[in-house]
Amino acid sequence: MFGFAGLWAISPQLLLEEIDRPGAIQPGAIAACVRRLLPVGDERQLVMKGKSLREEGSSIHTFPWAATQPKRQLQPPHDSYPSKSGNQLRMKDQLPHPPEHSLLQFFDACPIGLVEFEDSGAITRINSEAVRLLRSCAGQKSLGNIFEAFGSRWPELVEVFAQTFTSEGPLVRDHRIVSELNEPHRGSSVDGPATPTVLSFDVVRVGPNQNMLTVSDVSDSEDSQHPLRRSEGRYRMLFDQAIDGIFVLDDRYRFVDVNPAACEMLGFTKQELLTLSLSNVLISDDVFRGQALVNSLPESSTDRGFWNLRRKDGTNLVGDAAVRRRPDGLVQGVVRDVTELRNMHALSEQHQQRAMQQQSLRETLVANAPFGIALYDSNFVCLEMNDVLANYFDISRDDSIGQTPATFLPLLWPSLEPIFERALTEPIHNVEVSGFTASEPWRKRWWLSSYNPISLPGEQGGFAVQTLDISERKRAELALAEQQDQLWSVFSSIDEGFCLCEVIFDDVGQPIDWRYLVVNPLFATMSGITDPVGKTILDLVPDFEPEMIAKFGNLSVEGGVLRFQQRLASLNRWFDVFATSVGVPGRFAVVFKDQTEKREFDAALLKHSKFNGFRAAFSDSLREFQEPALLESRAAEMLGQFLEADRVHFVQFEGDFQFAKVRSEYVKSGLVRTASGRLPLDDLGTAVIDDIRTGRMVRVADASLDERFSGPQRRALRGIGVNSLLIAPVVKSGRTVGAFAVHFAEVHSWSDDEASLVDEVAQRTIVAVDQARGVIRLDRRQARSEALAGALVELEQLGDIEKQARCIVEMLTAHFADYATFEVPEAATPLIALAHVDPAMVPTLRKLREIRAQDPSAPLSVLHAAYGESQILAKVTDAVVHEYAPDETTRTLLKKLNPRSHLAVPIELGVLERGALMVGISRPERDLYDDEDLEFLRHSALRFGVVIAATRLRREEHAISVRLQKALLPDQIVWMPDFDITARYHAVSDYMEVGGDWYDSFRWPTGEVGLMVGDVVGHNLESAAAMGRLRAGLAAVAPTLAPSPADLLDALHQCAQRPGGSLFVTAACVVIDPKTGVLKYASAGHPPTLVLSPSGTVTRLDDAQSPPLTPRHTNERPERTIQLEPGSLVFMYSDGLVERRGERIDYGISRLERAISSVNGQNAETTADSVLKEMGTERNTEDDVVVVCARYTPANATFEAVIAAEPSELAGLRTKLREWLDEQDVGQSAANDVLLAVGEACSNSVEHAYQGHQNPTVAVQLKKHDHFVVATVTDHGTWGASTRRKGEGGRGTYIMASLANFYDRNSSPRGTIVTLSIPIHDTSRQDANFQL
Amino acid sequence: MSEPLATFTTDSDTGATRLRVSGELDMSNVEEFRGNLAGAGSSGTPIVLDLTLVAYMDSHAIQAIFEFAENRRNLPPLPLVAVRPNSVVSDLVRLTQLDDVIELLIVEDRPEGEM
Repeated sequence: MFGFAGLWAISPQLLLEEIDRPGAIQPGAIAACVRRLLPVGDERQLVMKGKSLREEGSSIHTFPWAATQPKRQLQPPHDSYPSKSGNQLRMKDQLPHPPEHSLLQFFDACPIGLVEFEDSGAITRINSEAVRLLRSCAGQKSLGNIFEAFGSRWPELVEVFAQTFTSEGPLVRDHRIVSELNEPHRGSSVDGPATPTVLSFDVVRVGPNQNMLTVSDVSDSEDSQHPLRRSEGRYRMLFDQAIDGIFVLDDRYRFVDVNPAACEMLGFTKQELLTLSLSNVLISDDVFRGQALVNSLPESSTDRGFWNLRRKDGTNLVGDAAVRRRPDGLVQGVVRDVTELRNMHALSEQHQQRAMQQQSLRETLVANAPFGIALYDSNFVCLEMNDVLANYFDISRDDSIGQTPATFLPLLWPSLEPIFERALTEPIHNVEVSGFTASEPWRKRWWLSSYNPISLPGEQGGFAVQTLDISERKRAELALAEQQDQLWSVFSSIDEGFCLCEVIFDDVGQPIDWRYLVVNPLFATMSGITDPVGKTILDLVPDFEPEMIAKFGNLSVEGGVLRFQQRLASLNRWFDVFATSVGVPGRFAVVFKDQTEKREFDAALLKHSKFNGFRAAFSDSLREFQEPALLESRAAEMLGQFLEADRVHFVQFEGDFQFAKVRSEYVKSGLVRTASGRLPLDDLGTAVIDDIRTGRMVRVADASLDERFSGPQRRALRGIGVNSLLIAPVVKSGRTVGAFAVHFAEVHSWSDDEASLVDEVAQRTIVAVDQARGVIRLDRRQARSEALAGALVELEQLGDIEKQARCIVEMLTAHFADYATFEVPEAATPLIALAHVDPAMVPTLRKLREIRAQDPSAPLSVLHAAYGESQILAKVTDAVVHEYAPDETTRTLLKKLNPRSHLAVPIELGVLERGALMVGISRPERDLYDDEDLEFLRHSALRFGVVIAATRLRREEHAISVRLQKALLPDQIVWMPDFDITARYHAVSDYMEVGGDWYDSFRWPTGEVGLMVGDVVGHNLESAAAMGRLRAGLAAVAPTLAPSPADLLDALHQCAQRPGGSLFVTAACVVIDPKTGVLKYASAGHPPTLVLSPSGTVTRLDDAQSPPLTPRHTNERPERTIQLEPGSLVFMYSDGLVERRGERIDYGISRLERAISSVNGQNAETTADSVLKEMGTERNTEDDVVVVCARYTPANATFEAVIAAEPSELAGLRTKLREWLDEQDVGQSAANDVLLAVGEACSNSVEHAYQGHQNPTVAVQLKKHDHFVVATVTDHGTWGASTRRKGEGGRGTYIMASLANFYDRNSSPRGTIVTLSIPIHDTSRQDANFQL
Repeated sequence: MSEPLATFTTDSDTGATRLRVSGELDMSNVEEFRGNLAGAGSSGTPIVLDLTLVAYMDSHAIQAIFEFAENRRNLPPLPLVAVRPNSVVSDLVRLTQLDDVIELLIVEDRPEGEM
């Protein structure tokens, strides 16, 4: 019999039967195993160490990796990764052995990976094989975590689990998953060339809330046909060799087959038994029970029970039998002798049954075990061996049984013998033996065996050996090991540190430390830690960062990889770290590189690029600002912010380096600015000042330790919050003019980069400031030059020296000075003009000027300048003020004016007159005057003087010219009663030069009237004189010409061509016959004459044009006529009336047409004035203008009377006149005027004309025109001066001329004609032009 | 001759001699006017020349008044000459600047009945 500790070989069927029994502890687990195994092949059966399932409570054995256990106890069941030299696969000695063999032990030892889990996925048990296969994921608490851990690498696995946790609950599945990724599946801690691993996963529900995941490595079976899969008919053999007695009965209860064990059990030979029947071996009533069973037993069902049997020798035995009907109808009973058990232990019946079962199973298991199994007695004679074992060693089972291994395994025996010796007395687990078999001496093989001493029936002892051929695995491991070695050599030689560590956890599973297991040679170099293996990191570096321990600890448990860069303060080094879990919970490997130098290089590079970035930003900023002060402060600010300095000054040195005047300052926010703006340099000491003076940079890292400073100096520096400073002097023209000073309150070691940056900023700022100043100066110079030009133009327009002076001082205060005065102290009327940028200061300035103006002895009297002396007081000092202003009042005024810089220059106003121009600056932000400014003022004064003198002269000349021109124009235009004619000359402005415009009129004895306007080109006295010449010449020849405008123009042309008189002249001419109203016109390059009809229509007489009158001869002189309606207006003009700059002359003529239309119906004078006003002639400054305006007004009523030349006749004439005037409705005033004028004329005729004449008469004729009454008084006598009464004074003539707008007395030997015209409907009575 | 061209009235009720002329004065009766002026001036009292009723006069009359005033330059006060506004007389007085040598009195709306 097998002992308790013996091995059981369980056939799947039996196992199933076992599992199905109520009370079994792990039915699900077993079922999962078996179901998993069945399709694979009978070879892969289960070996179960131990005994009754029921006797083992789940409480007996606690799996160390149960999910409820703290992490600390999570010890890997296998040391399954190879050690450094690891080409051995060792089962972990620490593996806890249960006190008794049990199904749980089987669970653990099962060669299939098993994971029991709840519906939630929580893992309740996991066996070693599963741990081996799942590797790094095995430490997870739940299947879900495994699933997640694998998720990224084995997506297929996700699918398995996804299917598992459907609403239907876990189902049996068969999934084979190929890993081709670098999952450290083979137990490698370091990634190497991966062997594809094929894992097969099944999930089965084994009970309520109880599921089993099976995992098996099917890589091998996938690759090749496993030999075991081919053996189908081995059951027979197992039967024959079974330990239990096996009986086969026919339906007549006769034995048709028995196995040796059966024979042995009953003491019969096989031959004897085959002649017997059931009744021969059963006792009393069991015979009937047996017969009944044989009769009734259904096919493929098994009856289990105890039977009382009788041996051949008559002794009884109790057999535990499993009876089953075979497919061929025969009944087979497997019987185990349990007599001894029953007797010895008086166990319960159930227990006996169980024991019998075990007995019978034993034989079956031996035969059917998936391992090789053999039994040896104490002499090492093989008692039993299954075919698996025989196959392992390439031997024949039959040849081997009964022999010792020395015979059938001669090559291996030497290594086996010592083990065998030991195995007799003690169990030996997992002994690995390698060697060659006889059939394949070229192929090394490995076997793993466990030995268990057993007691054999009738023997002294012996042992059972279970053996596994691990050659394939071994070879794979060796290959892996080789790779490991190679990898190791790689790790040893790479320039990266490598270590493998094991994490140490505290009581609650938190990683608290790690221990170095393996390091490569570079580890020590990189980390500075020598000989670390076996020590923990905290041993080596007590202050090692806890967060790093936590980081790696978690990695070792949760798997995955980490890659990061970190500075370890404890080691003061930067590391580039690659860490990976190694498949064994609690362990991790790290490959790292010391990046400290690279980091330092990178940092330097970064700093360099930072500096360059600053330079770029700084350059931009310099371009951005044009104001020197802004540039300086911006530079200080940028530098301060960039260097993170506490203060940056830009200072200017004063007084031989005694003081530094702060021009710009940056202080870090929160710090106080330098209060005074002026820093004493004493604090720096002579050595430092000498450096600055000579332009050397001063660097002080720590003033409190710097030997250049004395104790008081150090204290002074501390007092202003400076402990570290850098001073970059700015040198211009070999002289230090200023410096950039950078201060730190703390110690600051100045790098060369910083120093050169500060220096660069300082130099570039100064250059930029200089440039900006230059630009500003240039701008200001340009602005003031432009202002000067503008002022000169304005001065020319101003005719008054007071206005000019005002203009000059205002221009100067706007562009050049804060105040300015222009004085002509010795002029007939002393002139003074003042201006100040602040108007409120003007009275102060005026008071100052009044006080000093008259004292030529005063040092700064304006007379100095007025006498021709230029003065520059670049800087007005107290001494100057005192000298200039000895009295308090003046000093007070000066203090108020606050001149800082002062200039005075003479200004020449003509030959004899001279003025003084004085300017000054008071505002602090303005630059003081320099020689260049003085030069500008001198230059300006010169130009001002020229302009003022010139305008004065020209004004005088102009006045002469205008007078001349007016003199050259006709005093009086022709008068015709049928025409209302007015002429106007407009000399445009004071400063326009005189023009050559003229007008003239002609009258022919035949009654025609000629009118002409013309323009001699040129604006000066010469052209005016030429005009006078032309007019005089034409007037001389006109009476001899026909009344034709063309002839007049030709004559004018001839006049213009006289020697020395080649002129360019334009002219328009009309000749009107008042009797008919026919108007003839012609033009020589002159703007067209306009005719306005009484209805308001304007006609341009522009179709009789000939060229201007030039030296060239012209044949063409077209002449046209037009019929004038009574009341029509003829309007002639020069181009000055219609020409405007930037405007076509045609447009101007149209404008004129509209202007004329708008005054239709007025008399000639009103029309002329209105049109001139409407055309803007008053404002015209460009050209002079002549206008001739003639209204054709033929008489519409006539009075005629002839009286005797007697005084008494006059009253009667007056009566008639009154009646007529009343009829004509001329108004009382006009009627009175006519009465008076005509009365005087008649009185003269009566009084003077007829002395000695017979029947003298006086004829009176009156014609009423639109605007006047024209009276003609004719006598035939002779007026004589002798007849005039003494004292009369010509009062009568005076009265007539005063009342008339035209008066003419034409005396001849035949008589006298007096013609006078009295305006009607008009209040204006006289005009200077027509006064006699 | 039918109606005289002008009538002359002289009185001296108020201590001054007033010469009132009514009608027209021209060269035909200027000597009469001159005579009346002389008569009025011979009294030695201040002279008031009332021309308010003169419808027309010419330079001859003006000349007569000038001469009269000239003769009385050393006998202040100046003769007082009364005229109606906007009349031929007032226009003529102004035009000839007669008011330089006499005191001009503009009399408005003189009732006709006072003649």
